[in-house]
Amino acid sequence: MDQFESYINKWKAQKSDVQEVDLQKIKSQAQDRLSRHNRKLIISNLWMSIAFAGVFITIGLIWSYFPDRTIHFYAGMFTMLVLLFVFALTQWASVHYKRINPEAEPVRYIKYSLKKLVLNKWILQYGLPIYMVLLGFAFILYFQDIMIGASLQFMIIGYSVTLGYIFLMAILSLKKTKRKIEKINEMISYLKDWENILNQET
Amino acid sequence: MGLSEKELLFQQLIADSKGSIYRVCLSYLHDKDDVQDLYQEILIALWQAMDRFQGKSSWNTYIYRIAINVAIKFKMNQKKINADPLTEYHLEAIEEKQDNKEAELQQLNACIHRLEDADRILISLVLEDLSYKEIAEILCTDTNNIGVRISRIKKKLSKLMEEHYGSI
Repeated sequence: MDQFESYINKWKAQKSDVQEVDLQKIKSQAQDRLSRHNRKLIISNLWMSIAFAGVFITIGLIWSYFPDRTIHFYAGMFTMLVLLFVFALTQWASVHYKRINPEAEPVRYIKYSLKKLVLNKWILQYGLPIYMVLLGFAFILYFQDIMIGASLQFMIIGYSVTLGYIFLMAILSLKKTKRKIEKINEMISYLKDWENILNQET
Repeated sequence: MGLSEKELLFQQLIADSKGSIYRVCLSYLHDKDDVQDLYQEILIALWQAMDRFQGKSSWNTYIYRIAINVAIKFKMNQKKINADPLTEYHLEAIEEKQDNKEAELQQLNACIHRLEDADRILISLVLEDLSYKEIAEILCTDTNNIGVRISRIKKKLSKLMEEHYGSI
C-alpha cells in the first residue's frame, strides 16, 4: 500500500460527528430563503414598472395635449421617451431572470451573474453619465419650443434651474454610485474567487 | 417528484452520504460548531437543488458538487473573521500524540488545512477515492487539468506531512 492510499484509508475511516438535522427544519429554512428571494425580485420589478409607466403616461399626455408645437418640442419629448425606454431596458436587463441553482450549477451561475454584474457596473459607470447628458440635451430641445417669446431673464432662469438640477442630481448621486460600484466590484471578485477555487489552472 | 417521495429520497441520500458530506466540511473548516453549521447549510442547499437533478451525473457526484460549493461560499463569507486555522502551537500539540491513531488523522487534517483553498477542496475529493472523471464533474472542469493539479497537490501534502511529522 503506498503512502497516499494509507491517507485515503485514514481519511475515509472518519466517523461523522454531526448532530442529526430535523427534515422539517431544513424544509422550512429552504422555503424561507426561496420566498425571500422571489419576493425581493417581484417587489423591485413592480416598483420599477409602476414608475416607468407613470412617466410614459405623463409624457404621452403632454404630447397629445399640444398637437401644434414646433419640431423642437416633439424632438425633446421623443428623446426623453427613448432615454427612458433605454434606461428601463437596461434596468430589466440587469435583473437575474434565470433560476440557476448556484451550488448545483456553479460555473453557469457564476458566468451568468458575472455578465449581469458587469452590465450593471457599465450602466453605473458610463450609462448614467451619458443618460444625464442626453437628458439635459432633451430638455434644451424642449425649452427651445416652450420658451419662444420668453424674456432673456426667464430663459436664463429656466435653463439654469433645469440644467443645474440635473447637474446637482448627478453630483449628489456620485457618492451613492461609487458605493454601488464598490459593492459590485466586491461581488465580482467574490464570484471570480469562487470560480478560481473550482477551476484553478495549472 | 412528489413531496413525500422527495422526503424519502432526501433521507436516503443523507443516510448514504452523511460521512462524505461531513468529511467535506472537515476539510474546509476547523471549528466543530462551524462544521455543524456548514453541514446544515449543505443539507438545505441539497433540498433546494434536488428538483433540478437531471440525471446527467450520479447523485453522489451531485451531492459532492453541492457540498463543495456550499463549503467554498461558507468559507469565503467567513474569511474576514477567521484567523489562521492552524497555528504552530497546534502542530506541536498534535506532534506530542503521534502514536495515537486519532492523532495521525489530526496530523493529516492539519496538513490539509495548510493548503490553499482550491488545493484543499481538491485533495478532499482525492481522499474520498473518487476518480479523476468524477472530480472533474464535481468541479465542472476537464479531466486533464485535474490530473496535473492532483499530482502537484499530492506532492505538496506528502511534503507537509514529511516536514512536520515524518511519514505516517
